[in-house]
Amino acid sequence: MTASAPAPDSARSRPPAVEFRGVGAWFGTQHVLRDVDLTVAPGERIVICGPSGSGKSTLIRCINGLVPHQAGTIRVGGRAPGGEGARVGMVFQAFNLFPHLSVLENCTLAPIHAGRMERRAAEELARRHLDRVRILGEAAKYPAQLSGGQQQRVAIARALCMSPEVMLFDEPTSALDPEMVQEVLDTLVGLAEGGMTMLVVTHEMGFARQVADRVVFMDEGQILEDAPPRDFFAAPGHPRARSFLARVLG
Amino acid sequence: MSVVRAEPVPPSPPPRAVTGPVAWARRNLFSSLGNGLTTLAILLLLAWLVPAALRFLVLDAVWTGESGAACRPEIAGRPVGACWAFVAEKIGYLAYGAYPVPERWRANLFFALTALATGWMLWPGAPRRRLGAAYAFLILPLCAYALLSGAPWLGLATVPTGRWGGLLVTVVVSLVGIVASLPLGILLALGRRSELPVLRLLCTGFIEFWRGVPLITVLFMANVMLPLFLPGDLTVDRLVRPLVGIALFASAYMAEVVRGGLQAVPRGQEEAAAALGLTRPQVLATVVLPQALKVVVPGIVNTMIGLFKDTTLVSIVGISDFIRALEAARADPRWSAPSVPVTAYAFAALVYFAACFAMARYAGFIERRLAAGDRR
Repeated sequence: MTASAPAPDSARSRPPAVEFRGVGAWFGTQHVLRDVDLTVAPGERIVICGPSGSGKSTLIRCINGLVPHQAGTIRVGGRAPGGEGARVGMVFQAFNLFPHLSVLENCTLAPIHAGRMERRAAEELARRHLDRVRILGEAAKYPAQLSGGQQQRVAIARALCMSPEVMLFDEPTSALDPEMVQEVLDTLVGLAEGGMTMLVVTHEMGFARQVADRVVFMDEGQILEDAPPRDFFAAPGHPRARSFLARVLG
Repeated sequence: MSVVRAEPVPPSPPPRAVTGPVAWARRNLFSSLGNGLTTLAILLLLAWLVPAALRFLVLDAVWTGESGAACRPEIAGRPVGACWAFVAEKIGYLAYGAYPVPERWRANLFFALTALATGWMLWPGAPRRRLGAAYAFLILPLCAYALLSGAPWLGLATVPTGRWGGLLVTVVVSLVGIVASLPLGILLALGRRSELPVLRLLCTGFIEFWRGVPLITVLFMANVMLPLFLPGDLTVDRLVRPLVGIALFASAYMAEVVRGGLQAVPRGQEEAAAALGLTRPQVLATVVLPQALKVVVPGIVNTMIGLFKDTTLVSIVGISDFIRALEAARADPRWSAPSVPVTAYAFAALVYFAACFAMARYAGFIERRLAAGDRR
């Protein structure tokens, strides 16, 4: 069940990449995820949008166990989140590169320590993924020497080095200067074309139109709408989705 | 009206007024009336202090002599400054205390082994640093114990700690304090931030207890009170007792310094490391601690320098450290001369200053090296 190249016809016979069933989560007394049901097939690209504080980040953080859930069940490739074997890569809004390590070391850290890989093999893997996000030339530099767009691409390469089955993106372009947004989005498009299962929290509606199989709209910890982008952008079903789109698209 | 530049402006060298020694002095020493007056005041102070110090320490100093008579002005027939002859004769006692003279090579070997370990650990580009760490933290302590205390099965006669003294004791106490307090302090700092309430409470209580007690009280408790509480047949060496006290005391301070560094590491770093599948200890060892400790290098070195100087307090509870050896040496009636006490303290000041200055400079070097990740 760990084959990573999803063929569309075999997708139905395999367990879903991600499955939420009646999931609830609380921060103290605050109910941040309410009865969430969501199924993501292998190779599917999901864009999650909604106003800030709507639970988007919490939702994807439940998938890799960064946020614990208190009700319902979550399965990632048939396994519990955050445990052994569930390989989920994540890219953050603030990049969160390790400033004391070079670009290459940022990428080899997880394969060497979590994946028990030899240093040389890990470096080879890291170089392959750095090349894939077209930043191999900066491998010896430190994160602070790179532009925001370059840092975010390194963060993507770092996550890819875990050989993830699912990639999570938490507003990957929100902290970027406008002229750098496109280079990161292009990288995401490239990943999507490679068949990666992706859940992307973003306000980039153009990206959603171009890449997403489904758009999930959230507000107040609930999924209010889950529709193909064509339908969602043409005629959003929920009134709050309508007003949100009106605000985002201007 | 809009402006469009047709010819680019080429870079040119700076005007003469901003380079050269005169410009440098004007900018750095006399940039304003206040700065100019301060510079003059400091120059005057130096003009008064430096010649006086030079005269006492070097020009009028007595370098050789058999006894205090050589340092008495009425016998020497000239003004007498520092009596270095006294230090020269007592240097063996100052270095080893009452350690038996035929066995002093063991202390020297210990100093050499310690210097090797220090160099190996402190030189960032040293080869086989893992081996170095094993040597410094495992092999050296065992060797040092066998060497200094004696190992009859190796033919090394036992030397009771009561005969250790001088710089030897100061080095032993400082090293044990420094080497024990850093790892202990890190563990305590991590424990204080733990999510387990019991562990957090224990660590906080431990830190607050040791910080709330003066070191001198700890030493008196260790050396005077503790033996009264222990059962009669159980004795702990009288050098080991204050050693443990100093190590625990220093680790409490170290813990608070390290905690400051832990708080400076953004939450996102831990999140990112956890999202990469690293276990909690791996997150701490590879991501959090390297960044946290780097931030607090000045604080750690500050604590170490403080600890090094605080070790002089063990002289109060009857342990013959460097300062106590110096006191004993200058009380020698054979060496009674007016300038001997001042010479003794000047020598102590030089020794402590050299050690502390070296630590501070090394810390500066490490800080610049660690700043590699911040350069743009």
